[in-house]
Amino acid sequence: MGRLTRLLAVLCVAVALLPACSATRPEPVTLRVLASSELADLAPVLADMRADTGVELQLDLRGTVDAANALTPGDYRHDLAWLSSDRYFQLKLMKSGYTGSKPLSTPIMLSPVVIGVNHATAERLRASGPVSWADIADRAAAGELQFAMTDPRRTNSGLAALVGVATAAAGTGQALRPEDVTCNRLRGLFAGHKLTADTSTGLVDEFVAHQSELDALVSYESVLLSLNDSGKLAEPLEIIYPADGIIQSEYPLLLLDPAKRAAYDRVVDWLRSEPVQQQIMERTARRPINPDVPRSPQLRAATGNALYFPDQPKVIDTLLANYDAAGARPPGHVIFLLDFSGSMRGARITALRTAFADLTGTGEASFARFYQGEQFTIVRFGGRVLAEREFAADDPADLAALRAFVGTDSFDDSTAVWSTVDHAYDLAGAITATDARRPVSIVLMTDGLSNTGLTADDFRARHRARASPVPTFVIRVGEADAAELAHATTATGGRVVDAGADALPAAFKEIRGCR
Amino acid sequence: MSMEEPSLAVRPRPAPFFLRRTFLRRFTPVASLAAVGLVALLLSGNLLLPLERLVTLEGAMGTNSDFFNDDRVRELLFRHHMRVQVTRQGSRESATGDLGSFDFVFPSGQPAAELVIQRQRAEEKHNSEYRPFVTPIVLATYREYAETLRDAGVATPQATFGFGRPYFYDLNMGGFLDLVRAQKSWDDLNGRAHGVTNGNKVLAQTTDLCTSNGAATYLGLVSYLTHGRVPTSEQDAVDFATEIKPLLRDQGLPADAPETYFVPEGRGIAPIMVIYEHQYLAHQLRHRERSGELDDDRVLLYPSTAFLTQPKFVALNKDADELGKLLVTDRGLRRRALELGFRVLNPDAMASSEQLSGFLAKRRVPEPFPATDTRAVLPDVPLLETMISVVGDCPPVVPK
Repeated sequence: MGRLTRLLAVLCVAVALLPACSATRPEPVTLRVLASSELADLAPVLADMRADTGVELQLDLRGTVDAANALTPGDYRHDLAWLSSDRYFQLKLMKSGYTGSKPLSTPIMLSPVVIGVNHATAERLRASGPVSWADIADRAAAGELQFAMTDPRRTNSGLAALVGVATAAAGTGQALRPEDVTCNRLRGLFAGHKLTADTSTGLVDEFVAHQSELDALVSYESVLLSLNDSGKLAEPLEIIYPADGIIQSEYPLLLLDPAKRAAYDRVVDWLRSEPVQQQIMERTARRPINPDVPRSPQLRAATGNALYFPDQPKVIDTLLANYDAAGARPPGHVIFLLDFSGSMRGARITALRTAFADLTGTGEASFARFYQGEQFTIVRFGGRVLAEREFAADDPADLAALRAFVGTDSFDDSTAVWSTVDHAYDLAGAITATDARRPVSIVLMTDGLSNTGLTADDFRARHRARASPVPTFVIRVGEADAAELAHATTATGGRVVDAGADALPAAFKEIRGCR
Repeated sequence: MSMEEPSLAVRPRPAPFFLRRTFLRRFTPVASLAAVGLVALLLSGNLLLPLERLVTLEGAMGTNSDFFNDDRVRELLFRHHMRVQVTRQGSRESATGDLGSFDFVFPSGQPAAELVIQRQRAEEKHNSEYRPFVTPIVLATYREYAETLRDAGVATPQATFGFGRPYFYDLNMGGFLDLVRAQKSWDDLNGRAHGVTNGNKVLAQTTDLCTSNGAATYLGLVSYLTHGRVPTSEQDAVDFATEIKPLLRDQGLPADAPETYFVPEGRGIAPIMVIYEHQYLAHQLRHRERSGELDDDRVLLYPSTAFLTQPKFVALNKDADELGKLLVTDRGLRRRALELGFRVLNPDAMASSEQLSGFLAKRRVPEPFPATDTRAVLPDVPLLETMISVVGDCPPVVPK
């Protein structure tokens, strides 16, 4: 329309008395915007917007989850909302059973939630190939990686990270379903979560103050890049785009008051125009939604694959509840009962040892890894208890001893499953007596029929009498009696996982974090 | 619809005495008359424009809002004393929301347009439809993903004479849906051979089923391929929808916008996205124009069984009728639609692909060939609505 405008302008000058030609800039408008806190960095851009379009955006800054919680259809207190992501808001609408039309929403820019780590940590992580969230969880569980992350109950960056790591931990390649989050597989990762805040901007300040004690910061790519440029860090953070996936933020602008549509359209058109997108990229290190704007060198890196985001509110509720509970409870004590009857020889015992290599940090990096503060009792049994010993996850020498303990080649001829489980409840009682707050659980791995000692019925009767809250989980291999195992253990609050020899490590991982 | 003076973006400057309010109040009527006379004497034709009333039309649009947001289209309409303000909405949302503030709706496909027409008829309100152009839905992806699907035996490159590499693939939709149903991940397929590392399950992502016509059309396609026919009763529709629900919902929350396909980060956001063909062609045309090259990364998968979606312009009043007529008859607007990648229809409403073909050839953009042998059929609007509600867990649409 440029040519025409010029033409009309000429005409206006020629006939300067025409009323139509008196300057008609759009009416100045002020819009109240509920905005994610990190959008404070757009202030200079918004000043330009006001000059160019006559629209002033007054930002009311909050954590994104807090902001979404403040948005109630039919009772909006703002004209627009500008959130780093509206996923939580969408889930909230779903949960509330809202049936009206959703606010118009237009993505403005992009920034993935990723992790920035110091150089030494990055080197160590990269030693074994592309870095995944599983690697990060593994190092955090080992006490070698301490990170800062915002509160997922209040902010998008925290929630996105929580959903992202939970999706990666479930490893299904799909959006999380309720059955994927029944156990908390993120305790190992969160053993390294040492610093938190209610907003991502608040977290940056805290991180700067405590940078010497921390190895990593989970946040938006844009926040990490801006922090690196700020000169506030002794050493810049290296950005890792985890290979098992990221969550992208699209910064949608939502129209809450339909009466403000004209101004909204003006704002959206302006924000998505090439020069403005360029300016946003240069000032805030966010990625333009406009494909025509070439990415600056620091934004040329591929972001990795976005994980599918769950569309069931219940999944988010469970994840947040797990996060809450984990914060409130100390690390647990797990009693492993390992069947060392003769039938375990060969492939099965090899698989068992692989599982414990992974769990103790010498095998494949894993979310299931034993984490800081956890304690274990390992019991090898056949027709009786062959040996038992306690280990602590904090001590690498202890973990090496644990592997040697499981590596012992000494098998028995018979199998006393229920006497051994009953014995484990004696051990559990002793642990609880010395430390009442420490959660205790029992994991039984067996491949055969119980052929000596207590019967399943005997065990159930004795368990009822104990009224113990300690659950027993079972990894069932080979010929073990599924019905009997299920009957006896569900009464304790546990459950049975079936595993062939090759799936034994996976079965141990599946049971981790269940209580 | 509103009538107003044309508004011109002229920077404010200190007003000379003759523009000050008191002066103008007394002098303007006289001066205007004089000026009108002067201009009328000196100029003719289009230059009279600023003195005529400008009609502003408000429209609710689907993805084809690209058309009215285009500078050239705005200019052409201005010559016809029209200004169009569009609100971009998912088609179904446009069709089911409040129509009171709109002069026209232009959803991306028939079902939504038909809903609007039904609603208008029920209320005995103005409605007339125009069909200026069509464009099919396609599965937009990236070369390495298309090649991975080719290795998996479900994609075949289309012959594109004169271009070194394929830009379009025929997708065996049945085979593709089998992969989705089997929950294969890209890593399970031979992705690595083409540089793909992705543990996500193979599926085509869509925007919100409840609000987007493209997503609803894809749903119709998946259902047709799964069941071999359209549902014929309410119970049928519920059963069909329940069966295909996982195929469409494994993606979790829907994609934000089809346009993320075109950003450099797109392949990480969604390796396969359901979009409209015109969006891709417009992108390639622009890419060619800006850089002289084609975008070599992005390719399209054409479902072996296809719908032709037909955006219908529905005028809700007489002023909008004028716009509708222009869309189907004005040469400039029709030419521009072509440039934006649409398959422009002849006035007899048959697709005229020769036009597109010649146009693309001139710009050295390869021409795609949608499947013509097998055509899927969409169910009736009420049954499609039922299916959308079941699969998307959307609130059902009750015509007001």
